Amino acid sequence: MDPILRMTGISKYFGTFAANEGVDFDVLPGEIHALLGENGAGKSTLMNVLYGLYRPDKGEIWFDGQTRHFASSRDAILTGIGMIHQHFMLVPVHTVLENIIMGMGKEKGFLVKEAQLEKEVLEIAARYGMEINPRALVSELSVGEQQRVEIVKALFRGTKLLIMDEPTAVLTPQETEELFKTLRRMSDEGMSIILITHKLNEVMSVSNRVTVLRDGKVTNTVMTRDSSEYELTRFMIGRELSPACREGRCCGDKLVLELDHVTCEGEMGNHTLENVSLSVCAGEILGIAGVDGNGQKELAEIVVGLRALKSGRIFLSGEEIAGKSILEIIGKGIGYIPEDRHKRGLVLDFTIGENLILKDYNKKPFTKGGLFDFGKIHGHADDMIKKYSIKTSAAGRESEARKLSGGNQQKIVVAREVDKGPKLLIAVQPTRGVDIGATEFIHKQILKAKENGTAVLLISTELSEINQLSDRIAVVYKGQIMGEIPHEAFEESLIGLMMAGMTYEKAMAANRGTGQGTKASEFLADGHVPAQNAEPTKEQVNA
Amino acid sequence: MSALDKRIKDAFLKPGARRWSVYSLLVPIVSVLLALVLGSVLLLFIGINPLEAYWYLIFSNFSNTYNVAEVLVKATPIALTGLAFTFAFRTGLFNIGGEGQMFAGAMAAVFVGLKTGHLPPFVTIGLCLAAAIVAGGIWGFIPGVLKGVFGSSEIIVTIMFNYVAVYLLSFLVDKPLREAAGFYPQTDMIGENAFLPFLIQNTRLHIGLVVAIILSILVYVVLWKTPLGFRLRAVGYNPDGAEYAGINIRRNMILAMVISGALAGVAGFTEINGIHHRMMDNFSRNVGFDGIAASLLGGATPGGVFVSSILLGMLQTGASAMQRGVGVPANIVSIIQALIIILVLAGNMMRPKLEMRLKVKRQEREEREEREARKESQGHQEGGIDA
Repeated sequence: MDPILRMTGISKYFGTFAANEGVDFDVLPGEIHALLGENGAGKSTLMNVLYGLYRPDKGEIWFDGQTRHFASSRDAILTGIGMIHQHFMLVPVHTVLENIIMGMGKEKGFLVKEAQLEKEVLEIAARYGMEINPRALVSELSVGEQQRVEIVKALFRGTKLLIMDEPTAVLTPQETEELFKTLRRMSDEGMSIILITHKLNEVMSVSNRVTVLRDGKVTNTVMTRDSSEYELTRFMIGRELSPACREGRCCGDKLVLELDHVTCEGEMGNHTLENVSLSVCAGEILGIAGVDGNGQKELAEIVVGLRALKSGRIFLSGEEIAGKSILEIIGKGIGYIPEDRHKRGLVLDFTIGENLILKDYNKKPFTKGGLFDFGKIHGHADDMIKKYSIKTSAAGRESEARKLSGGNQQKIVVAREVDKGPKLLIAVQPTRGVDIGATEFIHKQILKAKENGTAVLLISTELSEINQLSDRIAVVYKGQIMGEIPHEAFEESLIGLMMAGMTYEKAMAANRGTGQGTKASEFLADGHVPAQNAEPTKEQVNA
Repeated sequence: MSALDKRIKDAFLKPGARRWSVYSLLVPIVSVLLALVLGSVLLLFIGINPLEAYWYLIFSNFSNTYNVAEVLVKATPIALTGLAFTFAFRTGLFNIGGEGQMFAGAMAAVFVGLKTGHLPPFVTIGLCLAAAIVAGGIWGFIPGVLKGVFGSSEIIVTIMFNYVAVYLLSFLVDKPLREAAGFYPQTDMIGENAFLPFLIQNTRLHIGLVVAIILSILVYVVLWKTPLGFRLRAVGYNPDGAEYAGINIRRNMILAMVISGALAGVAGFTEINGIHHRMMDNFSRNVGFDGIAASLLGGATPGGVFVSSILLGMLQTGASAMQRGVGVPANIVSIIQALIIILVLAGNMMRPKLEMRLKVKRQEREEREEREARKESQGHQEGGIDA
């Protein structure tokens, strides 16, 4: 079978940085082709070249029978390439139909033939087994539904090749499975799909072929069924991984953090957290799982005092800390790795050294007689750079944080928050946007802190991260804790149901009802949830 | 912070606030030269030889000691209001109220100078300075509180406070503090003991210049060498990050505005006690705004501000010489000054691009050299084999 797309020798330089170098890539008709690589491996650049957003410095694109030179994304769209970005490009105040037909020139004439267009849209959706309501406002839809609208929009535009950029980042496991079902259906109908991802289990479960990128070059292209997660990891990072492993359980008696019926209000007066009660012991990691935006950020922020709570109490080692100033709370020994290192965790225009003393700038030994002691500050920076293997730019410790890679920026935050040996460490999405090597390193630091007796509150949307590190797991949904389970009882399907809003008891019943709940151990061995397991589960949700 | 505020700040000032590079010098110098070129087009339009005009504009300043001193006399208050703007700007605040804060300082200085002018110089000058600092500080404190507590745009409030100060001053010289003779809308002379000592005989250059130099150094040390400055700059660069680190954003914003206002207040003090020795309507107008210009031109660094204010001082004293020499309206200098600012801002916006291009060029050159070096050494080896 001839490929529908062939990209040969694609090189794209930003300055002298080679984002892509000599990349060969092809996609067959009806194929789901995964494009795998770490952050910064060049996946997005390659796809932006294909989508006409960047012009390649070298190389050729051959698509659908001829060589193409895309000057803009419009050219790409017109030849039948569609792309669904991580952040959806929808107008929230418009209806689904309006979003789908927007800008396609099908609304020719003075009046829009809505009825006819609606019929066309519904036909397309039905063909691929997607349910959509064309008259609903996009702002009323869930994230999963919005993604469906994006897919229908692409199909409506006559897309032959669909690029999906990290489509599962915002979905629950069940929504993910549904998306994969749709993708398989589309590929059965002869559509080609490129799936950009860094999640191995997704690659294994849905793709036909995989191309792995590292440092802007293709390391390998293999048939998925002939490969394994283990092998793909090696292609991806160029070495074997020794994942951080949790050992032993907590002592369980020395309570460090306790939240007692905490409620917190958002800007709109809605409850972003409702009646949350939690506790974390010294030497224990409590993982908070949940889909992004269900109150995780708020949970971390009320503990450190960045956000006021409406009711409830928070204790740190038995002492009430709610209502105290941020400075006082920090002083009590709380380390906090915030969700957004650019917004909160770092001052990007400050140097590494300055960022490392962001919380201790006015303490000894960094100040002496009202002035900074730069000898001590520089010494501290050098120590931390070495200890946490932070890769600086040419300026060494004087490099601005802005100039470092995401992983190295995060290492600065981790070094600052963990090195002092805090009583409590709150880590929110500690490895978001960080490459695998740094992820491994950061996980080890968190485990090390735990071994040293720090209580850790780990908030993450990555279930694999939660599973790998946590001693106990609580699931948060719309600001409420749906339930808590020990690590031994970790089951992805169970947690998935709770992430979608079921309480622990209901989720247990639903999960047991299927009779084939995936055990954690199986999950790890297989690397993905087999499709047949998740399907009946989903029906349970609907019922 | 309103969206508009943020846009103004980001678009115009963030690039200029970056760390030092070749462009920190190149942008202002090219801007000044380009502004002079553009200004020469205007001069040609009114039929004047720009070279001749510029000769007067620049070299008249160096014709004698008095003129050189005069440049520094003009530069002193500009440097002080420039420091005021710089200080607030480093905390992420746009203090456009240097003018009003300077007048507040002047009003306080003149009042104290009138009342205590008979005391020994050391005492009365000290009291005038303290009064000016307090008054300028209050004029910065009010917008600071409105910003910190209620989130009002400090840009708007400080602009409005300029008017309040200007008209308050008009009122004071018209009624309560009007001179005993009652003839002009101006105050009496302050006591002679309150006059600032002159640095050079038979010029107007007073010790205020030394004050400006000391404060420049002080501002530099505070901003870059102390925890206080660290805190303020953290708030300026990333308020969310500062809050996360336990820094009280409100308090530090207010503090920055107070210190900024106080610095501008000192400019009022040097103008009253050093130059005019009394207060009249319409004295030292626009010095506050010239200070903003000096700060922008100087990359919001104390040293840069000082150099820039001398340049602006030169332009202003040179302007009158140019008017006398070739009959060009001195106002043309205001146009040139405005062009300089526009060009500096444009240059700052282009700076990231320029820096990138420079970096790429340098790397390409290095690569080429390396390649050639390799080729050469290979050539030698091959030659060896052939032989």
